[in-house]
Amino acid sequence: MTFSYIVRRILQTLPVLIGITFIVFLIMHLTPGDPVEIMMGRGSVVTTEQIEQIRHELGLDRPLYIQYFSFLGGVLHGDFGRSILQRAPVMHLIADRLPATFELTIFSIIISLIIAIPVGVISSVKRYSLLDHIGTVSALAGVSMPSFWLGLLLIIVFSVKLKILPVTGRANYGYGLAPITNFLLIDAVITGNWGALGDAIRHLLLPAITLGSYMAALTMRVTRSSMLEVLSRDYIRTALAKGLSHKVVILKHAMRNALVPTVTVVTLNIGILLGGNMIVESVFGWPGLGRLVINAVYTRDYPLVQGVVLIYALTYVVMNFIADLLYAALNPKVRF
Amino acid sequence: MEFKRFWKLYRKNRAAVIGLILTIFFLVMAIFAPFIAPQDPNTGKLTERLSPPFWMEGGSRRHLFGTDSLGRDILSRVIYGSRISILIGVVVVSVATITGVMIGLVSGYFGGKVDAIIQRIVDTLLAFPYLIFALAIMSVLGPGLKNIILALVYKEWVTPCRVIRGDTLVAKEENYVEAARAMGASNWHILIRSLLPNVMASVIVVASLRIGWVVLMEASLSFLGLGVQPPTATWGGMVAGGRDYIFQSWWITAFPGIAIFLLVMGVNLMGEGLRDAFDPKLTRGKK
Amino acid sequence: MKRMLVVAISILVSGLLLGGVLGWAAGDTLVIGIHQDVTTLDPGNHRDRETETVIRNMYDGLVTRTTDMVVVPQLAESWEVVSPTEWVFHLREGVKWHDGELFTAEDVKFTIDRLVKEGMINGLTSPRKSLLDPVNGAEVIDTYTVKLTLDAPMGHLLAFLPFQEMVAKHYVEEVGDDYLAEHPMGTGPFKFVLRDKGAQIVMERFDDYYGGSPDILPVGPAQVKTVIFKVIPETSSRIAALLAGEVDIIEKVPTDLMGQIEASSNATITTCNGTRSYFVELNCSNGVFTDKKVRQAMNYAIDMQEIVATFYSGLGAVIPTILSPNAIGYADLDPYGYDPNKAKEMLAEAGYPNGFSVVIDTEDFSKNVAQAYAQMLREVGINASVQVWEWSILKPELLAGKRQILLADWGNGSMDPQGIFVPKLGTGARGNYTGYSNKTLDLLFSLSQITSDLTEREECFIQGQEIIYEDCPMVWGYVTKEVYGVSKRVQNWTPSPDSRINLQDVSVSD
Repeated sequence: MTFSYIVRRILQTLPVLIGITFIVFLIMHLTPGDPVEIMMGRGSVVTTEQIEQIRHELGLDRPLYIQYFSFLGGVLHGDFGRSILQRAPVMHLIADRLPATFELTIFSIIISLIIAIPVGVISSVKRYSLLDHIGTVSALAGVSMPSFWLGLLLIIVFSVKLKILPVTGRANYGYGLAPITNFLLIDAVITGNWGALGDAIRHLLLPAITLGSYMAALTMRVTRSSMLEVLSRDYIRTALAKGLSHKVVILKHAMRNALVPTVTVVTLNIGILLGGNMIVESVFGWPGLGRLVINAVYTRDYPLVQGVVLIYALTYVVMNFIADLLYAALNPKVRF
Repeated sequence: MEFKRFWKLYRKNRAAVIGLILTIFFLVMAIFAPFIAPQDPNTGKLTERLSPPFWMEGGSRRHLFGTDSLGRDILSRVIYGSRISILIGVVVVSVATITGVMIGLVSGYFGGKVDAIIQRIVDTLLAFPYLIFALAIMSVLGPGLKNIILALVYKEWVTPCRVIRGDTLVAKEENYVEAARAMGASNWHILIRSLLPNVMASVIVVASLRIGWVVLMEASLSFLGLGVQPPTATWGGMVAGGRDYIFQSWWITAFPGIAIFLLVMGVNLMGEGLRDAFDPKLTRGKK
Repeated sequence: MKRMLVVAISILVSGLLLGGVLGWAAGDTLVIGIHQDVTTLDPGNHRDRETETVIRNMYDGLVTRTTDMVVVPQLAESWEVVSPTEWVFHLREGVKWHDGELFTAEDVKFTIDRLVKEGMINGLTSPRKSLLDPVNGAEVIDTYTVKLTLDAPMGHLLAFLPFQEMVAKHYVEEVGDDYLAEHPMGTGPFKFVLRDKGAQIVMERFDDYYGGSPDILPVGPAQVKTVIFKVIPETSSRIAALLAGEVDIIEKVPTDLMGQIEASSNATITTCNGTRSYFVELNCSNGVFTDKKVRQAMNYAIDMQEIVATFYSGLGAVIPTILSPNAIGYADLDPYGYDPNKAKEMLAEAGYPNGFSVVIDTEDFSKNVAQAYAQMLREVGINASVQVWEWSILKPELLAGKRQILLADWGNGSMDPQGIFVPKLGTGARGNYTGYSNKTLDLLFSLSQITSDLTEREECFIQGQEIIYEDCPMVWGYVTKEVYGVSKRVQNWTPSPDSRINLQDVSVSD
């Protein structure tokens, strides 16, 4: 992992990011519908001249290429412009919602890994056992079930019928949680606010399970199949023959190698989580980027859409990079 | 690999057979919908709205799965909804696979600048979260069957492209390609006559594994209100329509949801069965 | 391996246990479930009703409305129309801002200028400027007297003034517009505590509140200590939250789902007339509807009572023209009523014995009603079908006169016909999709704007309604009721047609 490699990678991703801004810009401006009209609402007291004036103030009547380069220029300064509907700087709006989405995404990944990897490993070791069958079927269900349906189902069961989990939202007010990082779990732990911690977890559970089900299913199957492959290798049999305990063999030797494809799959599928966020946030009323961007597309809030998509793309690119790093770290044979 | 041997291999995998049965079940449902459905899926009596499935109190034999908020028969709508899901799944994957395979072949075979540019485009599209991209395209094109197919194809072609490119990179070093070139065959000839048949297995597997995903995406877009418009029944749209009523008239969302689930599962199982049956010829590919 | 599973399960279990239910829908807190988030907390920088509903609890206006939509004094005690283009307001003395400073005429001037002059908010013009249209600024006469100056007479000024809330000059000048949007500071009964974007807005009683409008009782500081506006976009979740006791008031309850709430032990349903009129617009400038007889026939062909009964569970009122019964100058004419035979007769007389083909345009949310209309039209021989559009694509087609029938609605938050009658049916007006144009009507509109005498204005509108009643540029429809779910612990709250949820005088009993 040389410095020049890192630089090369960054340079490689630049055209991708620019390409994304261009595509989003193009799409949004090709979309019929005027954001100012939408902001004013249909049944409202305003004249066409006044709407034109607002459009002019927002620079929406400039030629498209000027608007695009002005946007790009702004991005280089960290200025993503102002949301048309909310009239506030896009960076602020994104920064406010980012922790919610990221916390949900990370929590989903953790939960899905905690469940999927052990199940995958045990399934491979105890092939065709009951756990294996349950695991395989669940994994299949996980990739086949529409997330919006799963989410609604979970709400019915756990929130309405059993009443043990909240119906919607991210947290209840009243625990007096200090907003330090806006990652509720982190803030609660830092300040020792255990009530708030429990509350945050309770709100996170259902959305995280919904969001993570796809990834958990994928992970479980990849782990299982790659473990199966590794376990059949010669060096494993050698280790066993040498008298090393089963546990050590599995945990130390087999898993380390088997996890390589798992890591690859997980990091490459982060993109799916980012996309799936939209639906999950919508169903659970989660105040994150997903809902923000859906609303922004519907209200033709160009700067906001551009900003959020860019952040998503950046995340995706960074995750790919991390995937490569992890791959190299786990597999000493790989060199850059 | 001849079909008979292939079928024997495939048949051994029980899960794959179940998948095949499920897929055929929905295919039949879609094709014969007008004959199977007990009622007209698009008209309903407002006096019969929100009635439960026949086994619950207030339900009737006329509406086995109950009715929705407009009094339309859920069972009939589920049956007709299969047409949309299957149609979109098949068409999108077909078009995207053909496009993606062609581009992937070219990209992998010719390499160099062409490859670099194409791969940049692929990377860019991949970095776009699926739904946001589809959502954005749909808002440009407007709702409707043709547009949702287009929107999904725009995003979907990159997956087969990537896979086939990878296979092509490997395959083009093979002996038979060298031999063909030595004999003076043109590039196109090599691409279509030599390389394509050899990556075919991969193509089929990728395609069948993507159908499930595309069906899920279509359902999600319908759920968000895009896609095929009412009164046409789509499973995703039905789930969305029942959202408000979910706590009291759960059947409106439950049955279309189950349908999506079963179809996608069936197609996935079938795809994996295909992959396993092709296995000896195939290097393990990413989904 | 097993250890990891055990760890996972213990996290889940401890999460469930540690949570517990905080008794927050208890004692001194009121929780409102709203269906979408506010766009900002700056009273001058939005055009969103939900935003105003929340802001109105932290900010006051010169005047406000009662739940009967009568305009009453709030921060202003009285006013005169000195000349058609000058209004003088006498302000209440001793009103404190949340930071302790006194409210004066300087603040009013600052607020009005900020609203109507260009480029005043972050270099951009306030989107609320058009609500105050002919107003061009304000002058300070003395500490508690301020004059609003106008470019033209504005008969409806008082009806539109409740839309504008007063901000503090010293505060905004100190912290800037962006900070104001996140940290509101007003004179209202509640002061801002915090906002979780997309999730909730929390506010607390302001103990030094001057008491509010003397016409809205009880006068005094707020009854409850804490108010939380919780954002719950999903309808079923909102209702579930009410039933679970997590929220006390929810808005936007679909009429279909009222039964659940009425059957529950801890909540009931409250309704009020909404401000949204529903109608069917006909293209009067080209096509089959240029004939008045055909338009009138359409009015007989559609059974509006049935529509209200079916789609709104009867919660609505059929109206004879476009104005709500609560509106100023409402003319109590007899709605056309359902008479399919008469409709067929009139169509035949007009030259369409076998009907004609027509497309009903609608948006997604009203497609079911459109289907019902199509069905009714088919029964009188008109071959009607439905097309669903996204508004932004449909609108240019409408303005170009290319469509025939539009299922439409229009909200009128001020209950002043200026807000609906004029934009919908004035010649060339912004919301005029029918292409209808009547010189007499336009004259009546002008007259209603010039005079500020309420009786005169009402007379203009009554005559106007008689004209359109005869001409039928639309199929006249109904106003719907707004349905709210209210916990039984809430006392002294009635919903308001303008969607305001004012909580100053609301108390809770446990």
